[in-house]
Amino acid sequence: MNPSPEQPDRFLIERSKSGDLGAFEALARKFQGLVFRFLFHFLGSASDAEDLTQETFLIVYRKLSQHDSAHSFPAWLMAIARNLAISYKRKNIPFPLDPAVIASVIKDVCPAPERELLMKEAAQEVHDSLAKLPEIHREILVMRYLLDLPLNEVALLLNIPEGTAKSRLFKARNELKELLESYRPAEIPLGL
Amino acid sequence: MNCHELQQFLETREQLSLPVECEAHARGCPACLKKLELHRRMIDGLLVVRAACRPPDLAGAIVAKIQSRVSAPEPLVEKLRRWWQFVSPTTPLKASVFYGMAGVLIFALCWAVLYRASTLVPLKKDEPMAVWRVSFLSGSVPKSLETFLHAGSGAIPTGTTIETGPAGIAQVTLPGRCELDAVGARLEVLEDGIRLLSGKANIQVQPEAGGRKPFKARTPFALVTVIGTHYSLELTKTSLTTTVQAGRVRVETPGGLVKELGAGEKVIAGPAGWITAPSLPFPQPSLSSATNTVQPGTDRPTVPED
Repeated sequence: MNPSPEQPDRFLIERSKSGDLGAFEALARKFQGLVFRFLFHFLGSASDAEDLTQETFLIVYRKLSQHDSAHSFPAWLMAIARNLAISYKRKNIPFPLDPAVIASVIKDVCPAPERELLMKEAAQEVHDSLAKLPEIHREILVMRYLLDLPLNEVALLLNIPEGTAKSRLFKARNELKELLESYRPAEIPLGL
Repeated sequence: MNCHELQQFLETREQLSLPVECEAHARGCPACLKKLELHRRMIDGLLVVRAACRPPDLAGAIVAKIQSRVSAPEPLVEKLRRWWQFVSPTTPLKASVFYGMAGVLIFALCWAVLYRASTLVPLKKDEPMAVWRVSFLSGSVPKSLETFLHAGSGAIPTGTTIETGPAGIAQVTLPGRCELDAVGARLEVLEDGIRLLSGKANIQVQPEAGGRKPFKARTPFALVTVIGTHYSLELTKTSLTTTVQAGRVRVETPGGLVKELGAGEKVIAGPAGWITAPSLPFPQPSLSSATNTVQPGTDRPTVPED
């Protein structure tokens, strides 16, 4: 039976541990979206997110034998991605959102055509402001509102109690609002 | 809903969506309307940003990288980069360990430098180098020494080998420290003594100022150490005879056997250790007559046949 992303995590992990690269490829295909989206929103750059997603899975492959099957695989995976993202020396100014991508998604998101422009501006403001937040607040906002994970799962991924996650989320949201209120467009770095 | 309730609602509601009551209240309250607009702007931005992320398919590239890394060993640069990523102070814990270790290292270096500086003995720049002098009383001057000597005598540098020939006699001195008569001998002068290679040597050693630095006579069969004394050595191919005229002499064989001789005692050492035990004291010559036990021509010792 060929491994596929639809198969249970435990099966794919066990096959990967025994050296089955096909099973690991299926595992990577299953979780690459989660890891990439987290890194993209956390770092603000698609190319950095792409590099670090690959690096995350290379580390996962190397350390797979250390993974305890009693614990959640996504939590372990996200912990690796998060540590990599924090260690990564990123630029303070995030890359601007791709206008072509924004234009293509705005129609799906925006209920009223007259609000499209406002929403585009709001998207860029949120994208830039997220980069200014402390890592501890940025990661929880990204997980809860951009990856759309329930709060109990976010708490599990961050290895903190749910109550702590909740209070941290509200603090982060208020801080984001303060940044939006005093928003000034970021200077676009030269050469971009 | 009043202003306080709206504020509470905006701050403590986990979901981003806004119920109609909030809208209804904000229509009549400019301050709340502003807060609501800000909240809405945040929601709109988050919704678009969330949708703007298009994850590419990286699984194939990841597996290709794994395969290339498995087949090829990790380059050194990559290893160093990963090591630096591991140790670099990017998190509070890592930073505290990193800077803590750096502090300890700097402290240890400073301590080592300061401690060493306090224990270093300053160089005695004015202390003259040991200069040996040699004077050939009989026999021919070897060619190797001709450049140093005039009329059979002169100063020689440390490390020079003196060869008197079978019947030759040479007086070797280290002024203020040692007077030595070499009879049919071959010896090398050193910084702290001599190396007797063959023949006989009558040695008189003056104690050095401070008296801590011993004079050493090295031979194949024993190391003879003295502080200040008068003694003679006779080295043949099979043995070394040490005879003490005055003071005390310490004789140590390469095998670790040690004897201390007093005035009038002698010992013979061979390749396997002692050949004879220290003899009973023989009639001790007076110090004044023993300053130079070898008188050229009149008191020539017999050269051993072997």
